[in-house]
Amino acid sequence: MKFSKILSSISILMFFALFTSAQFAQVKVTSALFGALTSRQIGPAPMSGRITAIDAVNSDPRIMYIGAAGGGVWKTINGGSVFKPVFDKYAQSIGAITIDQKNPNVVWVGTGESNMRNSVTIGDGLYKTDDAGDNWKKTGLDKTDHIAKIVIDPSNSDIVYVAAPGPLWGDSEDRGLYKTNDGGTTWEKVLYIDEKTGCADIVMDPKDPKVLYASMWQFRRKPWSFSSGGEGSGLYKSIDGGLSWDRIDRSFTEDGILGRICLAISPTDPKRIYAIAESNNTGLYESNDGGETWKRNSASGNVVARPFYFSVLAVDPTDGNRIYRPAFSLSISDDGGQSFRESSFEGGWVHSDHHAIWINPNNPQNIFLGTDGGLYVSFDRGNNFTFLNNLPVAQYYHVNYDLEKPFYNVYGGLQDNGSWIGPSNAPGGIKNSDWRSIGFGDGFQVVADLADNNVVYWEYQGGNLNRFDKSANENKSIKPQTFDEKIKLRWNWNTPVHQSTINPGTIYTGSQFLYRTVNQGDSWDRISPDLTTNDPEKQKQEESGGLSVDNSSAENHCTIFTICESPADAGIIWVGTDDGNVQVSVNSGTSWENVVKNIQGLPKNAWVSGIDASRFDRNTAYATFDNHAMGDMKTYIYKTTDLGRSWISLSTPELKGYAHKIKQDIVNPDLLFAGTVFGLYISIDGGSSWVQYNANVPPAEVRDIAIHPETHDLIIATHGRGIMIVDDLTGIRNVNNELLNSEASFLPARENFIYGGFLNGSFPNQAGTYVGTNSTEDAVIMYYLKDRVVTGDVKVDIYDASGSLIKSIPGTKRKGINKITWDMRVKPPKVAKGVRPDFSGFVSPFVPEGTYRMVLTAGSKTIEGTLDLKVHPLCKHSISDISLQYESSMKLLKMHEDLAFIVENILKVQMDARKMIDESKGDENTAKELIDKLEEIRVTLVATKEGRITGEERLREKLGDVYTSITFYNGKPSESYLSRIPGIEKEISEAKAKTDAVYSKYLAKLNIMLMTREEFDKKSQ
Amino acid sequence: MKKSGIFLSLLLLIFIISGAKSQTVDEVIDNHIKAIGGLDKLMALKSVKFTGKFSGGGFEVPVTYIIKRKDMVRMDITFQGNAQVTAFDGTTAWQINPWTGKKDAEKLPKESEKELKKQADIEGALVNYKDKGYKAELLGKEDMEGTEVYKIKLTDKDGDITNYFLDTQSYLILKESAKRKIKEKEINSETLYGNYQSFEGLTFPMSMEIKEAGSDQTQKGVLEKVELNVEVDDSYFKMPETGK
Repeated sequence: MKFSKILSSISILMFFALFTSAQFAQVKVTSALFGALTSRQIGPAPMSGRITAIDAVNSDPRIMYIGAAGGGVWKTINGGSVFKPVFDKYAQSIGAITIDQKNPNVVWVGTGESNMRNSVTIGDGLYKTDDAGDNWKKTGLDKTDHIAKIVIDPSNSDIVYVAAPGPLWGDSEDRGLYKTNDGGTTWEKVLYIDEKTGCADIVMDPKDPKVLYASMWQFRRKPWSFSSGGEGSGLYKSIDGGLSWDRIDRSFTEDGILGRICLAISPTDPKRIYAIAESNNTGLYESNDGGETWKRNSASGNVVARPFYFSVLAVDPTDGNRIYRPAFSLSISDDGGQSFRESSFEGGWVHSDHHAIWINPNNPQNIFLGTDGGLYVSFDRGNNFTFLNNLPVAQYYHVNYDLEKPFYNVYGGLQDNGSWIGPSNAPGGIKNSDWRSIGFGDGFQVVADLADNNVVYWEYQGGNLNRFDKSANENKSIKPQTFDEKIKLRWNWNTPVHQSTINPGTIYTGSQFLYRTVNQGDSWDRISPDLTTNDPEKQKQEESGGLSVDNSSAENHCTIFTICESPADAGIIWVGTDDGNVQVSVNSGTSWENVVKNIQGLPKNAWVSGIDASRFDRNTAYATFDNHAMGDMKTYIYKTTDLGRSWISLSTPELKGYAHKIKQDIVNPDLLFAGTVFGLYISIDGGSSWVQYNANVPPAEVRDIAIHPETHDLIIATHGRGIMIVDDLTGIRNVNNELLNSEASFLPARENFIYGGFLNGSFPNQAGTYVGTNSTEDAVIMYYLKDRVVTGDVKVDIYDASGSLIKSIPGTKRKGINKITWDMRVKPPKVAKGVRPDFSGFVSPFVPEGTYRMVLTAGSKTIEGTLDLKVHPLCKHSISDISLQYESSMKLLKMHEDLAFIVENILKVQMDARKMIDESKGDENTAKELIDKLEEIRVTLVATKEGRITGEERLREKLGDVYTSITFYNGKPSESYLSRIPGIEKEISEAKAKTDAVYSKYLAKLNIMLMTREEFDKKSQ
Repeated sequence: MKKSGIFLSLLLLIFIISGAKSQTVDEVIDNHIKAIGGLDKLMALKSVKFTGKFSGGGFEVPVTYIIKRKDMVRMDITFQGNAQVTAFDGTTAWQINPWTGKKDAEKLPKESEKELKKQADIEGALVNYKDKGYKAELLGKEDMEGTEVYKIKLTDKDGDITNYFLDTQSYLILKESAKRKIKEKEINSETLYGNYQSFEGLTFPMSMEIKEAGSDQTQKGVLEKVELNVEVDDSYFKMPETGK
């Protein structure tokens, strides 16, 4: 075959390919399409979340990196005054952070925390930065799930040890102590026991980096139990950098069965090692000979508490006798662990459950403490602490909303931080003080009664449901009680509470039985039999925990986990259980059918994490399954269109991690959102394809998703980064193949309102506290561009009904959806030139209500659209008052420009006259006279004295006061302000008359020309 | 002809098209220089004056921006007849800030001096970067707002980093990001460039969006006029006597 023939075949093929693509192009949806539609992170930060790792630069400890259990890495360069997230593209559960103190621009981050509670989030390996957090590179250990500690050889930065407990939920070889000799390029497992045992802790001799102590830990969780301890656990020592190891824990226990061991080495005396070893008699041990022999010290209950969860012990960098044990609280010893006392906490509460501690090596008085409720700093060796309320790492389980106006509130419960209500917008931003705590313990569902805005339902772990009265601040326990003392109700740790869409105020909850109330929980109807598998083998929680019994309801099993009444038919109820049943009733609970058997490809007993019944079709529902607790991290999403008789899988390779939630849009049935352990996903084609939604949505664990029925906001609950809101889904709803194939198109947005202003005015947010972002009150204009515009202009011109150009807004040029805003105000006035700018030049009234024409220019393309502006429905003012305000404001605006014109001519004439003098042309004395006469007038018109606070008030300033006062109020202007207008107007015309008189006397003589009004109007500011 | 033959050829073609040969940083920069007008034209440029407006937070101000070889730059933002001036004359950086009611010029700190000197680089930092003491690295291709770009990291002798994001099609700069420490404050800024237009064979972005990391506010700059080799005296860039 000849080469030319091949070429022609290729060109035919290519031509064909081009042709088809032009005709039937399927534009690929990418994450970047939605890049401009950023979420706003609203916090909250007042309760913060679990902090798992702290490290600081020894030579400048103001530079710190903080790791959160589910909230990524936060960096401060000022000791905590300001934190910035530096790890937003990567897995957000952080287990360990270690700075290379030889080169502090190098920082290692191990993802996946190792506080192995039921709700722990997994990571996806080890990361490294060499530019202090600007860029990160994955450096392996991808499958370890959990990393506990990273230690760098101080004599050689390329040698790094990583302790990986490894997967919690299944056997795996991806665990143990890893070592690199080449800065992370290659890894060797230098200590490994078996696929059940990982490395929980490692310490290095600070004077001899070849001497290492490592604790190995056998542990396992199942959905219904936890086991800490086993033959694999033990304490090991190496004196050759990990080549060989000796087991050194013989004195810890007689039967050889150990659990989790945490370690600390004295920086001043490296032979002195401390260990808390979990066994059937957990104790604190001390060795003074490098681990050869150990003695058992007395220890308080706090010191030996919950070893699987509290795994930190620290020795003061300068005093080997001072030991810190963060656990339920902070225990401190001054005698080498012979005795302990608790921190005094005189200044107020420090959140319990401590997981990280950092002691300043240069000043051991200064301590940072990481807890389940955020980060604290002490300046007196851990006796008293200050809370840092600027870390928005809240770990939500669920989110709900109310219908309050102008801004709805979000409701949700948090890991170890109770139940909270907060506004979706607030004056000056959403501050810590805007959040209201209404419930304690671990919080989960917090449901606003949509029929009674005063009532909120909240719960703490194990289904302890309460009803809260917002105005009375009063609480009532309404947990359904057993109907037979022989039957124990089984409540999930994270018990579902669901409100009917069709009948607001009707509330469901479930143990193994489903309950419904129509009287706010005063009584409940049990509307199902036991809907679970009721497997007795999965109900032995009293034996759970392994060496240390730990039965907190976290392992309760064979319970109802998700409930959804169909928004299309209140008689259809879906229930999912943690042991894998999908039950549906089509008769309000009279009878039930388990339809999980109809799902192909789903592992048996997979946890039903979410069910979303469609509002468009009573037969349609979506379900997510989370099988991670059986060691299976796959994404399971299914859809049925026949009430569960058959299901199709909506899982595609783009989805990563186990799924918690699926949510169908409430307007466009093809628009779906899914939340997994690694973030938020979107599908615009009913689940055939998915992309990650990453517009200011870090890949944090997304546990719940809601869509507000009035604002159409997407509300995202993350387990580590608080609440995020993507404002207004209207644009996204209209993304379809036709739009994607257009070169440029406008996208619709929700209604835009003038005369709102509900976010005006507030005391400035105090430095050092977090403030969540508000939505814009400006009009939102969205448009789609098929390609980025590089060599042409992009702008949106706005015209009023008469065809006058009101505003030209420079546009963004991105490929995909663009979003710009317009403040809906007329152009501010040109203001008379004075010694300093006058505020009036920034102020102008809203344009009138009506339909405006928009013209988008994108390179060579031009398209048109319209924008409707309406007076905000909550605006309290009558149309006639609004008209009076608008007309008065516009009149004053024009007066500003009249005055500016007068002053402009004064300055022009003065300049021309001065030029004549400088150039010795014409009559110098006359010119001087003219300048002086005009100056006499000018000083009465505008402020002329230099200085910041001169208090000088001239005509411009008087006019400005009246103008801004009237313009800033949306309603009827005050009489007293209105009454000043004629007087000021008179002064302006008098000023004009005075200048005219001067001009008529001098200008002709000097042959100086005035500027015309047309020339003035053409000038910009 | 066998089917497998076609597929093999196609594979080969795809291999060639997909750029099996990756470019070096110097090749990318050379292509960039060609794209904006070529080395000769750039080096022959004596001065350039930009006239336009800046908008942000609902208002709009006129701005003029003049760069003169060598190392001179001055920006005037005028509002109600009061000009906010920021300038560098090759040695001294200064400003006039009328918002405080003060008309005198003030000297700017060392860090600003350094930044203004960079802005005064009329042909752009990437041109002859080695002679200017910069180190350039091509960090690879990445996605920027849906468009494929080359990311070039430029490091100056103090270690200050500026990243340039160049369109892989046109080699024009679409974005510049920089991290600076000014008076112990870390500032991360980002500037997007667009609407590239040619003037006497040289290409300039007529629009820019400037953002500071962590702030929702974007300032937008729109240029209306670009004038090359305008006559402007060195004294225009010097700090006025009143402030000294």
